[in-house]
Amino acid sequence: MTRTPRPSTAGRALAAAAAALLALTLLGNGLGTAARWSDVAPLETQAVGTGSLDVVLAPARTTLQHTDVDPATGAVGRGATDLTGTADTLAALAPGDTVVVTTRATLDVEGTNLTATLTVDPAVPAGGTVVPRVDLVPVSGALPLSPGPGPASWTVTAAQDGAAYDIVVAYDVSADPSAQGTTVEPGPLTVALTQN
Amino acid sequence: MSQYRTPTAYVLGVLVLLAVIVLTTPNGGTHARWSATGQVDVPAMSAGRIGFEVGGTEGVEHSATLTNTSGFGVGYRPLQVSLVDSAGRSVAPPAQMRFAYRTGADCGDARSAARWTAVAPGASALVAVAGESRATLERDRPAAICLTVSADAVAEDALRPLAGQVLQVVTRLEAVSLGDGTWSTTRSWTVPFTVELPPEELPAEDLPPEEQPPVTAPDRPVATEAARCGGDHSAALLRWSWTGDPGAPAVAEWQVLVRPAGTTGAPTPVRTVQDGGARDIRITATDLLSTAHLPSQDYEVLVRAVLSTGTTPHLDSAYAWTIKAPGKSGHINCEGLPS
Repeated sequence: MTRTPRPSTAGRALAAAAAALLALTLLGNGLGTAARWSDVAPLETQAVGTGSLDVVLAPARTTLQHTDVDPATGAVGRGATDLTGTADTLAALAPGDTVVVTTRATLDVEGTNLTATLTVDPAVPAGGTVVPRVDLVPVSGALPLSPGPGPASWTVTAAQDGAAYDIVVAYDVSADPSAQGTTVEPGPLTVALTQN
Repeated sequence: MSQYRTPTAYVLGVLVLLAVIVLTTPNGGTHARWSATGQVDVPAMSAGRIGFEVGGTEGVEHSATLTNTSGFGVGYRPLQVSLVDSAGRSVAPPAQMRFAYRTGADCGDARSAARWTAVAPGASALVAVAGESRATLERDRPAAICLTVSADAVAEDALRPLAGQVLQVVTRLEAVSLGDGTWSTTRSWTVPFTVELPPEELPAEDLPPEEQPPVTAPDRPVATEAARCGGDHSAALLRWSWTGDPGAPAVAEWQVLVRPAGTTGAPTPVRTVQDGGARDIRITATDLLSTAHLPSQDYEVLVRAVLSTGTTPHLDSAYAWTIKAPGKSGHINCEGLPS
């Protein structure tokens, strides 16, 4: 009997590599398709823009309302003196005297569903030389503002966009006799508009 | 134990899922907010201090100059008036003593209407000034205020203890801020005043014929006997007679008046009996010591009939009795006979 000689080890490895290459080639051509379907539909979108929130103050006016004797007639009357722009201390104030600071605030409240709180801070300590009063007066048909959550505060909506209001802060000299001879240096009167 | 692990893990998983849902659901608010501010400068403010000064006015009696030191206008008025003697003791202004205050150009014009007046009620050391109105006192413009004191309406008997004394009339002035009138301050203003008695009435017989009392005027009371002092020398009994006259005014009260022996001044009342029918009265050493005649010891005494009506207000007897009150012994000695 003739025995068929067995292939060598190197020959078997070569044969295996060739078979694997053949299989990969066949399989790679069999996955997917060479031609594919596709489609594109545009999505309708709207432009998106941000709103705005701002307050602009006009230059302030300062007046002193004072009760005094008319030198000509001797009659007692109440008068007002314009002190706009003065940087000097207002001296020798008496009970009944009132220093009135007025500024016009123009609101910029633009934005869907945007609400904010307008707050006025007279910037004087309580129980001192003067007692502040804050009032808000609509200008040129502006809608009145509803009161806000705190003192001297109002709620603002987008409906007030562009509206102007006169902010009137009256500093009444205290009627308390202990206020005699005292001085107060207020900080800046601050008008703040804060988004709710 | 292991049979519980699966339900527990299931529950925990549900809770974690709920927490994720809650935390990720929008709540409508925003954590970042827009804001804007604007600022305005406010000048410093200094309160004044109310005050005024009272100064004398040269050459004008009973006048003062008021100067406003407040820095703002004030209103002022006199609040009350009182009297003190030279020793600084309070003296009750006698009833009907009048005080009139004038200001500005009216000062010194007694015929002008007074701005404020006060009338002493008697027996009260402080007399309130009537009226709430205030005069104005401007800044840097002094104003004048004047006081006129009148004792014309005061009963002579009430004035007599003060006769000749230089009293100080103290007026309390108040200044109030014009605006609300809540700040106020007061100052005292003092002016001297000498009490003068009206001219002493002469005895009827010494009056000139045209000033003689009417014939219906009753006679003067007459002492009927010397003063009687008891054995303990504590009091003296005075007796007198009084004839009156039909149709003459009745006697409203009897008064005993004394003066130091040897003097000519006006006598001082020491006792009063409000009984027109009385004809005697007792006086004690205490009565004598209560007068302003200390340290006198010898007194001349008369009795006065105070009439209820008529043109003659009272009739005095002569100084009919002489009484001695030595020191502060409390004893009283009766001397002499009725003159």
